[in-house]
Amino acid sequence: MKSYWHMMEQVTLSDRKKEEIMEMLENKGAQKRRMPRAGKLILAAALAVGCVLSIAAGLPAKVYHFATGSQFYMMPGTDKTGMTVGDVVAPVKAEGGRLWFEADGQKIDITDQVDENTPYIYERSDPATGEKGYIIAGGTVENFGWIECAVIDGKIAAGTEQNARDTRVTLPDGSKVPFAELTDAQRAELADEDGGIYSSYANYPWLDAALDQLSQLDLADAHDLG
Amino acid sequence: MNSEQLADLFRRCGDDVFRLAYSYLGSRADAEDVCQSVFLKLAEGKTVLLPGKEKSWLLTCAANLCKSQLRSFWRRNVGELDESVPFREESDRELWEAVMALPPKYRAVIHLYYWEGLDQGEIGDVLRISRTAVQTRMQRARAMLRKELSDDEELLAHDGTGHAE
Repeated sequence: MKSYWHMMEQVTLSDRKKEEIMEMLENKGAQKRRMPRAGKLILAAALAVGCVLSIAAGLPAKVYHFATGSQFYMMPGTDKTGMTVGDVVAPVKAEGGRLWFEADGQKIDITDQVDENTPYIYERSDPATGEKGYIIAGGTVENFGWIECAVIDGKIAAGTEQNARDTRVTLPDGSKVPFAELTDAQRAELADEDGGIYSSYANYPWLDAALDQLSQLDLADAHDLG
Repeated sequence: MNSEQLADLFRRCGDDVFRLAYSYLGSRADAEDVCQSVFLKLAEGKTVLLPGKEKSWLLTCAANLCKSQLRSFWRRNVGELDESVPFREESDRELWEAVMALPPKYRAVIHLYYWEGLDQGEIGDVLRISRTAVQTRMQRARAMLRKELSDDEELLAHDGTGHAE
């Protein structure tokens, strides 16, 4: 007989994490923004040594700070990557019937520049590292989305969440249904083969178009932190 | 909720929030971050918990954060940094690996059933899915586990009964 309880009893938070959370709770109010341990370590090291992170193994890590929150890091020479997700600040908002793009201290009306098939692509550099990245937005005022990508080693390596509202999902029979209108049974069915990742069934023509455009650029020009 | 109440709640439920997140995400680092986020939300003071419903809220909040992580673009495109659990017995490791081989949504159902001892309706409330979906996931998860584990083995819950329906 296998005892799930016996096994799971041994799975506990690390003492280090417990202390960190207890400290956070005891200083309630002093810390409003979540900054996970890994994020703190990476951020501190990046600031200290100019983006080259020294970790225990001695490998330099590459770090990208997203404009929308979060940090992506990668250990060169390995396949190890990770990301700390902070409070995400959406760079696209619908206000007054217009679609506004906000990032790096600027606010731009992009309503007439995007639609379901046409993306708005904003290129930026991580102020802390100089590493290149893109924020891609698309859709309509009623159904818009965005994604922020980091360029690491000349490739689009990671991105924060895409956030399209009312995303249309392709059902197995080929019909398209707004995500918000999926029944529980449909959600369960769609998630079956992909571990609950519904968005992989979603259609984002504007994102596909953006990635096509970016794939034609020489992303290898991106500043190399290493 | 003041700092002392928060700390007490964390002492009582912190590991359980972490366990759900770990079983859902399969990553210790991600699970720790989810656990921290759950309690930080409480610390921000914008949530009022009903007496007796504290743990239910914590688990629901953790499940929502886990689902967000699983849906996120980056998680589907980058690898994970993970640390293994130092189990005392090999049989525990085998079971862990079998459970971790399940799709995340199945793992969550299995965990809430066998560890938290919730019934199908309660699991549905935590995961925001229908009772039917819970039942379906449970059946499929058990079938996959049976295939992975020895045929004559069944999972035991904390009450030692197998938590039969």
